Amino acid sequence: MLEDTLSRLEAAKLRWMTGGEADVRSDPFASGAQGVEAQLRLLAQAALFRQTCLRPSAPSKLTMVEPLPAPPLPLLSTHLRPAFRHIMQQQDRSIWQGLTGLMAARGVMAHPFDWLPPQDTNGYADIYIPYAKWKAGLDNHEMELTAETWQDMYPAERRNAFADLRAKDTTAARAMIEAYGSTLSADERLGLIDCLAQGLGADDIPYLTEVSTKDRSAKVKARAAGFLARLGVASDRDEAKELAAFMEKSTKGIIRRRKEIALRRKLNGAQQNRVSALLDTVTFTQLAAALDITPDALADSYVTEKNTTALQFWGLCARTAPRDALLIYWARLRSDGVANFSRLAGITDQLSRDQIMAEAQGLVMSADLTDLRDMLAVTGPDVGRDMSDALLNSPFYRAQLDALKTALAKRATGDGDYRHDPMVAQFGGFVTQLAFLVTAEHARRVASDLQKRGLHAADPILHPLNFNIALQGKTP
Amino acid sequence: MSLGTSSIENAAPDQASLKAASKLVSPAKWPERFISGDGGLIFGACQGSGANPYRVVVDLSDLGAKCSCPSRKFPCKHALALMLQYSGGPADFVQADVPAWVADWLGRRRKTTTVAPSSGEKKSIAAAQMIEPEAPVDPKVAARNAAAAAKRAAATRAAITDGLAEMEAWIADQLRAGLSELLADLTGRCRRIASRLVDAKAGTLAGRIDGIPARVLALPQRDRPDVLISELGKLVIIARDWGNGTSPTPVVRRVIMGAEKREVLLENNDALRHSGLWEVLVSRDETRRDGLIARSTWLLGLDDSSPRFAVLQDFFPATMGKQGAAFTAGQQFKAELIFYPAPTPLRAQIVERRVVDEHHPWPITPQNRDILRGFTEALIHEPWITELPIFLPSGRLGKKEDAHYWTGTDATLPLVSGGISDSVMGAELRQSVVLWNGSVADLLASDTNFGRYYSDA
Repeated sequence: MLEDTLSRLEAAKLRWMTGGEADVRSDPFASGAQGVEAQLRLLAQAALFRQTCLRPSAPSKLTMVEPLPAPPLPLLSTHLRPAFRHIMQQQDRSIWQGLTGLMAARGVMAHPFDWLPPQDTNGYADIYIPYAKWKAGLDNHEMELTAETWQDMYPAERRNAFADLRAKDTTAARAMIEAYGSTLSADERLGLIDCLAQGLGADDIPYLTEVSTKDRSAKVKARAAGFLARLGVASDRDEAKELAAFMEKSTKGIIRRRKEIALRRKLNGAQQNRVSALLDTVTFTQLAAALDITPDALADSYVTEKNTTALQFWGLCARTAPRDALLIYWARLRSDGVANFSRLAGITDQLSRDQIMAEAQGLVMSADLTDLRDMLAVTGPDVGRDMSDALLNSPFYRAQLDALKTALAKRATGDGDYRHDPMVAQFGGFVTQLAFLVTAEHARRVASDLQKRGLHAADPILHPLNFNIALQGKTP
Repeated sequence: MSLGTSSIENAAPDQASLKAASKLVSPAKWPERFISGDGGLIFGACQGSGANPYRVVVDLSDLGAKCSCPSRKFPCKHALALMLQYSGGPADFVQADVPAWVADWLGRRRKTTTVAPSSGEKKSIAAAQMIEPEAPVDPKVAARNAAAAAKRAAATRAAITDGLAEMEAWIADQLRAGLSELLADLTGRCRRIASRLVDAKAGTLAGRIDGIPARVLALPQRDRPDVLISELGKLVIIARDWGNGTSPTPVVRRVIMGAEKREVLLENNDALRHSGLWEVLVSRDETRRDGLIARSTWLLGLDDSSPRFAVLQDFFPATMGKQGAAFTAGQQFKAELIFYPAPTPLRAQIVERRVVDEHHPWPITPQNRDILRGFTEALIHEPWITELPIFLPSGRLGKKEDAHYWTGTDATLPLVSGGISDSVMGAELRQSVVLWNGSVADLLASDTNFGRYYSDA
């Protein structure tokens, strides 16, 4: 019966699609009508037949994705999810990393319906690796790093497992990267080579020598050369001599005479380019030898400046200087007021957590904190009570509050829209990063400070601070 | 922060706005009245003439205001009413966190003076609040008005009857010329017959016809003929129910001419009233070809063992720009709803609403093997309906090529693919609500092993 009706309506559909006249008087749905009337009655019945008598058929071989992994931490509470989504609308990786980092520090994670991590989880808390793997369609059961599992692991997972292996067994880790490292991308190779800093020793020299000469990536070669330099292995002395030739020694100071080494002032463009290239390849020890002084003496006498070449020299120092020389030069940068979090970030792998936090606390009181992303990269989010105190007592923060007050005063006098003031826009970015760093109690203090300067209690600049305040969990 | 009546009088655009605002100063119309922690902002929701309440915020520092109503006056009567209430009783305002929609407004707003330009008209709250005696109605004038109204109604009936006859002839022409030709020029042809129906005073039906291209062309090619036949066949059914317009069912009258006004509905003793706990599933805006935006807020009743749904529907001109939604997905409240009379009552208005503090779970509903049975039964009584919310039992989402499906133990439904997030594909859906239109389901919300999922969150 149903099949008969369906076949009659299918025939009618075919007619209607192609058009033309048809006699449907005999169709039971036409109820004896003729012509147009019969067609309309049949159409009305057809309209309902499919929706009342038929059911959708299931397609063959429906693909089901793997169930979402169980969250390693409790999910963000429902009432905070809209605020989380609002902040994450900003397409800024540093904001995503800061916010998810703050949440992880407070013991919660983003709801997967609101946000999934990008494929490259570098910079995100490890709790998101299972979700990145799930999104990439990869198997999510826990694996130990072995020759068999090497290729199956997700990059961030492989890096973590490799770091663990290196901490437990330096030889096994080196053997692993020696055998399979070349199959990875340059960025991932660089990440794994960095892990060799843990337990770096003479046994690593043959492997590092090979990488420093044969690797496809200049960055990886330079990193391996840096480790070799730390191990006291000299390589091409001619390049060091060439770089030393661009430098000049002088004696500065009237009462307290001291030696100073700096690049010659009058270098042409080609010479500056060459210096730049050499600073990326020469090691600190080689340069000291070429200048006929000790590494410590070089660290004690090289100029401290803020320009690009000075930054490159710091890069050379951070990569290749012996630890004592490195700390001497860092102390000089600090005392000369040119140290900042960007530079500190280059040596964190050679400092303990306590040393990093001590250095950071010193920097907070003296450095330009306009871009707190560098600080976030060094200290991580939720820095604790002492560091939060330091941040809120820093001259930079107080100066920012004064500048904000001035900008908001313009609004009160009707002198334009304060949100278009470049200072306020920049201040918004500063407050966002600050909100990822400080404790909930300090976030409340910042919000109060801003309102006292005239910012509206519901101003969007305060969103990240309010989120911090509302986050439940442990506060260091 | 105090607020004096003279400030409100200065802010009001005219005396008429003050008069209208003074009629809204009733707690029953304001289920939500809040003040920010610093006392600088008052905000709330006013149950106006629309189905969805209007969201209103006033910055007390300068009386800058924002309301989601379509009024072109600034500040509108709702904002003035909020000011009047605060002025009369600030203690009635409950301290609350500033919600996202207020913060968004603050982030966008330009600082302007709210003092209305002087028109020379004297504005007075005291005068606005005076109750004017109703003028006695002259029986002769009343009789003349009634006769004129009856004449107008008869003319409208005749125009609609003619318009529907023209529509049927148009459908017959399409069948004769071939629906494949109609599909090739669906938007243009639907627009032309819709214009004719607007002229025939069947504006709501015209809007439905204008929506056919969007409903048909969004589907895969293979499904379009069946859905087009269904759309046209239902138009024939509507026309037949109307007949000569003397006794159409109220539902068909609504489908053709639009819904009765809120006041008329509230006076209808036959209209179903239901008090209970409701959850907002989704609020959808659809821009129509007639220049209106149709806003539909779908609600799920949480009290009953069998699922009860309601939809709050409003229309406002697209030229008004984007109006903030009245509710957020997942919001729960207690309310008495009054439903427009229909065999399957769905469209409703809020009579009274109260805020709830706790979040309540979805009802556990009995599992029916035929999940589309409710839709079939509704079609039997209202064959013109185009979509109906359906409660689905436990299931998962799956994919075949680019198409998404909901699949449960006994059934599989094709889904509208747009907007389905990757993550919900990996969740176990304990219960779901979809809008089923006879061929494809639109996932509105799900209760999952990861908590609640809302399609527009």
